[in-house]
Amino acid sequence: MDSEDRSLLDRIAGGGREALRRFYERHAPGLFRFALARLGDPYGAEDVVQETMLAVWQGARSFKGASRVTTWLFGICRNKVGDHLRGRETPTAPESRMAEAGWQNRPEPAPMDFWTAFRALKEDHQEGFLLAFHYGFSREEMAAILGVPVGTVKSRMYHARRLLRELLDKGCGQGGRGRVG
Amino acid sequence: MGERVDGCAEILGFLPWVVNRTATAAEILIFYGHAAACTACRRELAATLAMAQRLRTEVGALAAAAMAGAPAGAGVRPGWTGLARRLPPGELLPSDIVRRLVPWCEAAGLPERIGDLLRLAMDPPTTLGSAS
Repeated sequence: MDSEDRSLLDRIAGGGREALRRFYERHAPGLFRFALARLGDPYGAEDVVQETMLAVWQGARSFKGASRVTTWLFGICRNKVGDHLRGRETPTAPESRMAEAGWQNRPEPAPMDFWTAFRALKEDHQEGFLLAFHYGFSREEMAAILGVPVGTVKSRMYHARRLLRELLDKGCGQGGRGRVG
Repeated sequence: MGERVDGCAEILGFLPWVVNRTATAAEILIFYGHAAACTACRRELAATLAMAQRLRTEVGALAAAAMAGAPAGAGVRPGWTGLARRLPPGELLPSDIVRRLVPWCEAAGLPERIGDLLRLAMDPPTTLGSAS
């Protein structure tokens, strides 16, 4: 899979729009889920996907091949999520935002209110959870994506795991919106 | 079997990557060797597996709802078309050309040419002028 991604990136670096289209089709769904979980806003998540892909289009030459393409790609995506979060009000639980926007067929609220508990974590803890447990990145890949040492990743994950477990065990977050950790 | 044995903190430091299967083989062996004698770490493993599964389920449900339940005309997931509009002008892609020509072939009563167009899109010539 990575060799095909590298081949596509080479062609994107040479101005290949068809290669970008194929790259988009391969990665947009995964990036969308990551951004949606972080932002809770489908419109914002799609904006992040598009901004990420534009950055790929403009910066494909900067990929040096030192990591997997997906590691490089998620590094861009998490920065775009950060840009988006800095440009808007306090994030709310995904279900709430989707309901506000008129979304239908949204999932029934889980008994433990998972998203409220998840959002109560610090942002770097949320990122860690998604990268490790939804996308299956290794410690080293997570360190590259997050731009921190491996030791920091391990420490964040240790605390994030403990905090989310406590919150879910308590059925948390039904009240305040404060961050923990 | 003890409640907790020495080395739990170090062992739990690589638990997330035991769960997502990117830990090294040596770490996995060390972890399960430790957990066999440590009830607390077995509980941590079970809880982390459950959290990871729940995260995947919740994210999947959220994404499915976003794709299936978007209000009419919401414009979410404009996809490639939306992205292509934001790119600087460039040459037409073979797939764009095919998309434009298929309705023309149908209207002209030449449906057999659609197959040729699809083959062209799958294996585009270096320059379109060389297409036969």
